[in-house]
Amino acid sequence: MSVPKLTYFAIRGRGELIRLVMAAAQKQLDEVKVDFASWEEMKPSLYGSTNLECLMIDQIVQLKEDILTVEIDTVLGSDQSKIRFIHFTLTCLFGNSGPIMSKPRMTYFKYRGRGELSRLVMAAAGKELDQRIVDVPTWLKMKPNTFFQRVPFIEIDGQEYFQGNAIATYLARENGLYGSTNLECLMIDQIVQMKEDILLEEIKSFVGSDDQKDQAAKDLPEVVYPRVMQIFERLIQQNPSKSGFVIGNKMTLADLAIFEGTQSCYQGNPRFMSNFPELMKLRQKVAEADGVRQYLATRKQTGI
Amino acid sequence: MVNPGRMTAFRADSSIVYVISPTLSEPQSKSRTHVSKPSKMSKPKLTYFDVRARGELARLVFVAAKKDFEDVRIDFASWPALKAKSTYGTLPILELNGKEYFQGNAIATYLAREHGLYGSNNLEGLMIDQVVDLKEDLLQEEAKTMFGSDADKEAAAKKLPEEIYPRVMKIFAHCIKQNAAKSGFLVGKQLSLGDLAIFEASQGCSKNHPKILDDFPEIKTVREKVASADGVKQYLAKRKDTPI
Repeated sequence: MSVPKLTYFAIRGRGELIRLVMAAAQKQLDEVKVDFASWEEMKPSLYGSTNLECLMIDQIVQLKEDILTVEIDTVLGSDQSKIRFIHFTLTCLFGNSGPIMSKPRMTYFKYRGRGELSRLVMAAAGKELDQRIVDVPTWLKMKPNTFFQRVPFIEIDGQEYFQGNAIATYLARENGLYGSTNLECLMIDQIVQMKEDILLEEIKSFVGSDDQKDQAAKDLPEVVYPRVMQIFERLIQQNPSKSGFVIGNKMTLADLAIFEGTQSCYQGNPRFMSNFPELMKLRQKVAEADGVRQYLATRKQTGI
Repeated sequence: MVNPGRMTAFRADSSIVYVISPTLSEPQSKSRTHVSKPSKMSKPKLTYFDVRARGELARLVFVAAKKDFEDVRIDFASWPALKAKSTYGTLPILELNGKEYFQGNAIATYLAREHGLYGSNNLEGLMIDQVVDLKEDLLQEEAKTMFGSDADKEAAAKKLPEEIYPRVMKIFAHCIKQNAAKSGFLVGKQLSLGDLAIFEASQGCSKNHPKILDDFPEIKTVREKVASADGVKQYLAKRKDTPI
């Protein structure tokens, strides 16, 4: 957890209360004291470079105003008010989620591929996923300078992580879209990994020799899709809660994985998919879920 | 010869296990065999081929956690007939309290979580998951040396030490170095699924191109820690060498 840094003038004014709070809590506070002249020059560079950063800065600025308001209360009001305010400020600074952390940012192509599952998780969670979309030529230039040399990767608090499904699982866990028991987690994981198997077969129809691509294009509708759709259909039917979701009675990463895993097949052959009624109902439930619905309305269709 | 009423399999210690299919009403063999009895809290049963590949990670979790399990190994010849009757059409399969689960890494992760081998928070989980997934990517490259034309197999075998192993081992070493605890383990201060995954993933490299690992002492340390862990040590001492 990094040390909070206060930038203010070398007067008490609106900064002193913050200094006093930190002193009372015996927490370290880094300080930058600026003179009025320097401030005018610094001001533009001390604001955010993205909308989200500006929001994060604004909310702190507004918290500062709240502190000032309460400061007045504490002078005029009771000790209870003072205690509540100190508690409130400390909670904001050192609460359960810690100091305000940077938003995770995922880098990937515009395709669904290995990034879409994370996008669907964040949509379902009603959260924004900061994204850097790269085209292939840009990626090829970036690649040697990245550590993993693979996309997607996600930056969380200055550290990079990769592997699309690991990222989606992490985001699902963070946002209550994972299992509530270890066994549910196993059932979710097996579905996510089967989705990966499907993707690997689908990729074969895009890369390789013409013979290999032809064979793969044949295998998908004749061998792969029948097998996997059957398994998804059965898993949904076997859910004892009969909720229409594949696990338990609410939407989880597994439903999103089934939705995404069947997307290419559905795009290419919706009539074939109608052989799997439970699966089609699940796709419908996911497509209509709050957050996902809005996301899908603006999503551009891609082959993979 | 495989009797259609039963599945012949070989246990890890080479004794034969006859698993009775549900169509037979009574067990047939007695001595030197173990008959699977349906019971409420029966031992977990892992079924896979007699290779490491996608089953070994779950086996390592069981032995590291010192949990008893049935280690059923199917020979390749028996598989097509069994596959047609199986639920998911793929191996490994974990049978737990009468239910079946598939996907080797999902199984290994479940077992790791059950037995405290999965880190202590979500970020450690992510760190472990990415290493397990990378192991899977590597396995696919290694598998290319066993399938396809001779030219394909040779090309794949050449690519491993020239490109794949150096790149992948560097990433594993980087991940180990991220551990703030500096314990030598991938996450935290104790053995986890992540270390077992790195051990398994580096097995081929260690055996066929050991010099590559000289550049990555962090990986060698993980390998030593895994190999000397109680439970794992005993298992590895009896483990047959397999190419994959």
